[in-house]
Amino acid sequence: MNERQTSKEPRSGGDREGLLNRREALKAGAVGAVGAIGVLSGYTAARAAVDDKSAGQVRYAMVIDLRKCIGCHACSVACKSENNVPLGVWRTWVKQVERGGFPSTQRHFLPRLCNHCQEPACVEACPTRSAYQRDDGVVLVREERCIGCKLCMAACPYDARFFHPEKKIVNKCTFCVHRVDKGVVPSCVNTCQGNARIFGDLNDPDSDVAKLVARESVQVLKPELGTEPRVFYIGADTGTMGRVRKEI
Amino acid sequence: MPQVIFYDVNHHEAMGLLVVIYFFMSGLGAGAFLTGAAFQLFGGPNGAKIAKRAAIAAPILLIPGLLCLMLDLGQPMRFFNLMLYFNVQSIASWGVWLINIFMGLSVLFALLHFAGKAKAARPLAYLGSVFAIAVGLYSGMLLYQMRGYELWHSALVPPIFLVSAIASGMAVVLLLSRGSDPQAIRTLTRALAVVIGVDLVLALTEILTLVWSHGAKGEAADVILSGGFGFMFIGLYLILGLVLPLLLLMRRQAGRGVYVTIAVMVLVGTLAMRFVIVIGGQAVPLS
Repeated sequence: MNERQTSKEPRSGGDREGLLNRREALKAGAVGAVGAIGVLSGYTAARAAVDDKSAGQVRYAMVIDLRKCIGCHACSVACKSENNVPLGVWRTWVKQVERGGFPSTQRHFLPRLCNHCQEPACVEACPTRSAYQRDDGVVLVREERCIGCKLCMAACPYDARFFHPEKKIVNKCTFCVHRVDKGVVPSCVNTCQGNARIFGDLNDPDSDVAKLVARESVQVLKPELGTEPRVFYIGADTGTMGRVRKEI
Repeated sequence: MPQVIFYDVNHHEAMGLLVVIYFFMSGLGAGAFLTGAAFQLFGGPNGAKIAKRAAIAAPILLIPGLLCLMLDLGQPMRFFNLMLYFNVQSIASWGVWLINIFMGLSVLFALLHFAGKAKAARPLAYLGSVFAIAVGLYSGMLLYQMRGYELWHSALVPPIFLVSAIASGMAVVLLLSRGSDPQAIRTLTRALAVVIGVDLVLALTEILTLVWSHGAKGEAADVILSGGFGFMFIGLYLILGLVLPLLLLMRRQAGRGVYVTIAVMVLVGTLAMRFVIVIGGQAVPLS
């Protein structure tokens, strides 16, 4: 409105007029900036409240030692039967990549599952807070609340979430909390032939996962996205971890 | 050295055609509202007819879009959970309220115009415009939040979605402008040319950003510049939807037929762009 009024007036004031306009524009800009800062600080405060995960707490994590993985898919099968996962969708699977030609060739395995990220993108995107993270770090779905909008699937950079064809909601790996809460390891860990999958409390320095993460050089998937995965790999092939090109 | 994926799981895409239609229709609604509000506030008596038609068109375009969004849910009857629970970090959570308020305002705006009480609708035109811009921005913002997909996770996506929403809304109003004041139509087409120009600049910047990148971003560039998605993005969006309408709008004299052609081209282009960004954005697998 102000701009319209001033621009209609004759330009007799010359510089002075321009100065005034600039001053008003600056003022409006300042008000806008203060407003933006207000909104942003509210947002960061809210985020801080969300991020405040109490220290000294159990933090479940998994280490997958690929020096021991034989690519047998027993984990995928155990998960399917333990969690009644429908056909066509997977909570865990083993990615396999072949490189080179005979006789110089190599096959790489990469067991995949939900990374139970410290900064889960799915929890951030969920509009109904159905996707949530327990204090022990496990990322779960509130099945009775989920509306099946699939935004968490879009947000997850690891393809770990899927649409449950029968329940018509989003479903994912739960780190087998129904077992873990009773003191038993997840089904995939339990069944792993070569003990490649190791599960435990990352915050307990005496646990196997804490020792391995401290001692070995561990890798996570897509660290550049800032999701801070809590599934660590030892000896994973970097070409297999990323997107696989036909030629390298 | 050859490399093959021997086994991997790619779960199906999260956003389908219904979401594309929703983004398109809500964009039309927001754009039509903004056009109507602008004509009412700044168009004088000449613009009254166009303002009225645009005001009535806005909710009629918006509401079917929202129905598409509801049908896209796995549990459509649980949509009220969106209103019961709020997630500060989720763009969608904010969007639900923005679009709800905008829908209410646009219905009210349309009713006032329909009842011939346009003067009383003036404050609504200001307030509704703020929400219309927010709705136009939010759909792109929603995609921007999804950091796994290179085509979505770009700061240019929200402005591109807003500008194309405004352009397509103006195109609808142009379609509906038959028998309106020629001066008002001229104003509308001039404004449309400017908006299309901005859209073109943003689109070209985004394409160059992708082309000049490597890795996943480079793959995303291949998706939108080649094959079926390439045909839709370059052929339908850039050429048919932006360049040709801009050239046609440069003509000094234009009849009704030219205006209808321009409007249809802009609408087809916008729909194609939404399709390529949403569906093509998920075409580069995550692993």
